[in-house]
Amino acid sequence: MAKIVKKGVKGAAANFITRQQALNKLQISLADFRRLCILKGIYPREPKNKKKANKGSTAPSTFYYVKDIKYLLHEPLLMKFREYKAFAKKLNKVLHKGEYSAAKSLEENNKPVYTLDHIVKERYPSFVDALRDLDDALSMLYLFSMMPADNKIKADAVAECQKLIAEFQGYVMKSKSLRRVFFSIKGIYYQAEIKGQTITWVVPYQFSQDIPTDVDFRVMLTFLEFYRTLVGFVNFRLYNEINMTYPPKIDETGGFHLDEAMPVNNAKNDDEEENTADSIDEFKSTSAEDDENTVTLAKIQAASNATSDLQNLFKNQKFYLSRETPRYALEFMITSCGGQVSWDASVGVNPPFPESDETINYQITDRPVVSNRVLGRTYVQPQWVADCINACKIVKPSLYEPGCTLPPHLSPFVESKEGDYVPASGIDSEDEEEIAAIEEDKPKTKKRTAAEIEEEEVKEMSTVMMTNKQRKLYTKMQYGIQQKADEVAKLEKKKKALKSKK
Amino acid sequence: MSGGIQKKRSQPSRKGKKAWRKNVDITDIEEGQEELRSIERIVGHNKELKNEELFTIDVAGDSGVKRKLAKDRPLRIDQILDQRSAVPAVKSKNAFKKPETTQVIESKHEFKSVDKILKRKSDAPIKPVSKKKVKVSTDKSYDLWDEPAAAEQQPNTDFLPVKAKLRVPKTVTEKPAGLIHLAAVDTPEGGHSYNPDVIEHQKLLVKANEVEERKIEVLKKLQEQLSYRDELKLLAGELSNTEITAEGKIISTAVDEEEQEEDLEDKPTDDKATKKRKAAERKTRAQRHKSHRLATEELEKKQKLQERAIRQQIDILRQIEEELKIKNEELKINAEKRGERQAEEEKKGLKKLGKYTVPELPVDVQLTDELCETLRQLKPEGNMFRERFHSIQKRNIIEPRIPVIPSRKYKLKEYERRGYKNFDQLEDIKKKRATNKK
Repeated sequence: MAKIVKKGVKGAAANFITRQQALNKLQISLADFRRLCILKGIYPREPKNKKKANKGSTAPSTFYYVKDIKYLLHEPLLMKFREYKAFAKKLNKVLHKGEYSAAKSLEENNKPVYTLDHIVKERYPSFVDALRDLDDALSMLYLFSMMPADNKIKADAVAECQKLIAEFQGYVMKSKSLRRVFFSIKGIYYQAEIKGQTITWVVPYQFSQDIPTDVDFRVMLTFLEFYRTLVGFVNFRLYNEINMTYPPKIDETGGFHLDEAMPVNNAKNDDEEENTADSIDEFKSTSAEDDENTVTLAKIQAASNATSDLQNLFKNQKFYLSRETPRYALEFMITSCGGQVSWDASVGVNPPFPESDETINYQITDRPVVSNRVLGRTYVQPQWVADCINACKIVKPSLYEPGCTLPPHLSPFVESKEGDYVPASGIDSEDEEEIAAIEEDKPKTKKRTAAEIEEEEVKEMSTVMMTNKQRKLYTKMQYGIQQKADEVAKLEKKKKALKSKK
Repeated sequence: MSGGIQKKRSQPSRKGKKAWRKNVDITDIEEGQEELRSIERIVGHNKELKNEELFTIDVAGDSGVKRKLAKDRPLRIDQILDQRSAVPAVKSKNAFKKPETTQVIESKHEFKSVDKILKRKSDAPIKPVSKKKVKVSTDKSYDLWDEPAAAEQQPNTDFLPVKAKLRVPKTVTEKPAGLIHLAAVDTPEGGHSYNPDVIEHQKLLVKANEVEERKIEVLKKLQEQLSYRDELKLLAGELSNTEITAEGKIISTAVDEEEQEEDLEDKPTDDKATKKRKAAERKTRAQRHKSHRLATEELEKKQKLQERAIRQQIDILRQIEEELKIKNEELKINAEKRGERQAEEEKKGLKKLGKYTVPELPVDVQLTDELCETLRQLKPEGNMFRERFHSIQKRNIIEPRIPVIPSRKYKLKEYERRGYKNFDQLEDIKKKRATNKK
């Protein structure tokens, strides 16, 4: 006979613990418990059978793993919270008596201070893990960097946010890792690639944000605290990797512009880049047999070419930003692609070159009419920069003239599947138009290579071998695909007709 | 004897040794005797003393009398002052009086505050040498993920008990499904652009419209449930026309339905008829046999039919097998699809965690006439705080909570005291008086 096991010893009842039980075990208040869970990364769970987990009761409650809570007992932060509670009691007492000097001295000398370094190390054992969580952290920091300091948000927290953001932007500018930009109605979305990880973050526009009442602010502040520590460490590591001193000297307050005069060791980096390029070439020459290998390798090569194109997109180009354009976004975007930027003196401190400089190639302006146009300069609207970066090439600036209706700003995050209609929206550069014209003139050749013939034969065989049911499914699929292709062809025809009309 | 004169009863009796000793005071006689005996002890029994040996003359004088006489004398200072000199004296203020260092305290409040300051000074502890508060810089100065070289060997500490390393349980590293599969920052759709393509914008508008339509549907349903239905109006008419009889039957008493009444009347309602019916319910033997026979025949028929069906099925066994196969495959496919769907649902994260469900954010979209042409004229939509908080809840990092608004359990009761019953009237009178005075 099987061994008799007592009820409540094994299974869901023994693995899950309710929130109230956890509080009793840890002996802290609910607010402190929530803070601790957020900081340590302990999440509430949902058991499969709530009735069993809650020992017969079906009252709605939050559950946690018992092992997680037992692990929390060893956390040194618990002691710090309790010390802080005792300190808060003393401070309150002194304040209510009216002894303000004593209160000040208490706060200066006796306040318990804690750091979250060990928690960051526990949660992200390797650097790559930390990079994966970086997008949430960056979005939070950007959000808080624009808040005014008040009762709940301390001024030094906001200042630290701004500093960390400036440092991270400086790193992206130096390493040229920006890949995609998108101006949306909510904010500006950026995507960068750091150490193989794609990091997407959103920056709100610089308007004053009001804090809605249905958002729990203490939760946000706890997250902010944790992310500040995380991004601080990540920045340190990133700066070390490109051999720059951390913390860098930031030039001005209120702007995200780093001082360029930093001890940089760039020679080493150039050598490394060359080596990688050579290695790729060598690999290609040795293995030319397998079809699949060359296809993937071609893809890799194409990708690396694309990134290097992007990094040198605005090389040796000088830009001037008009007063009404968002400097915080455009400066970052242009510098990450190798260009040089300057701005008006009323917007920021220390512009590198003035407006009257003759070597300026592009001036970015957002006005309906531009007076005093300078010959030799191209005047464009800010969307041109974003579209260039998304397309990885210099787009026709004539479409973005100040005052004319812009082509639609497409989302670079939406990847079109095969066969979908891609609204090209006239973003062809001049070269592409010529190529398209040439292709139309070429007559359709009926020659097919041997591989293609073989492929077709294989397809025919498989259609014969199919069962009725499979064949029906196949025909239905083909019908659907054909319909899509017809639609696309129709739309393209329309586009061509419109173009020829113009 | 019992005249007007009453006997004095104040004097206690002295009769007897006890009463005598109690009531008679002979202390002075005793003292005199003691003196004589003490002198006798010194001087002797027979010796006679002379006057000079017994008595002395006080020459020193009584101190009390002396004091009294001294009181009448004028003070020395007055004597000095009386020696009026020709030179007039320098008029000075009261030399013993200290100049007032503080102002005269006029109010109680001032007095209290001054008192406080005094107390504070006496209460404050002796200030220790204040250490210069070193501002702890928040800059990170070391690489957290740096793998240091192998730690140096500690010099011979095997006698110390090895501190066991804290083992992190597996469940801590398990993340909820929402956290793994959902992105922290959602990639925006094409319609969210500030200058969107027409098709994409329309798609997004359709999406937002769907959400709103769903909300309207929910409201409609609620309204339907709460509103008074039309069918009930007819029912009301019916209720007025019907009655329930003693036997629980519902009879309509409408004038129009005469036929129904007739039918009802035909049914047996007197006792005799019921008796008959009951008698008729008893079966005779023949009837019993008949019903039994019929029942068995029916059973047999059923069995025969069943056997026939089975025989027929045996004939078409192969077909049945094929059908079963197809059915099983279908079931398998359905089960697979269900499994996939469940996995997909899980990846989206838990919708309900704890007591409340994760709320849905409205779709941020600008209507066609709100769309602006330039970046400068753009008015941002949506609140980034709300979005970030919603993202946290969606990924199940936090359980959704509703802010607890303090509300009263019992309604407030208002009372009016007797003294304030005429409060308003009194106020009016006061006002009138004030205006009259003016």
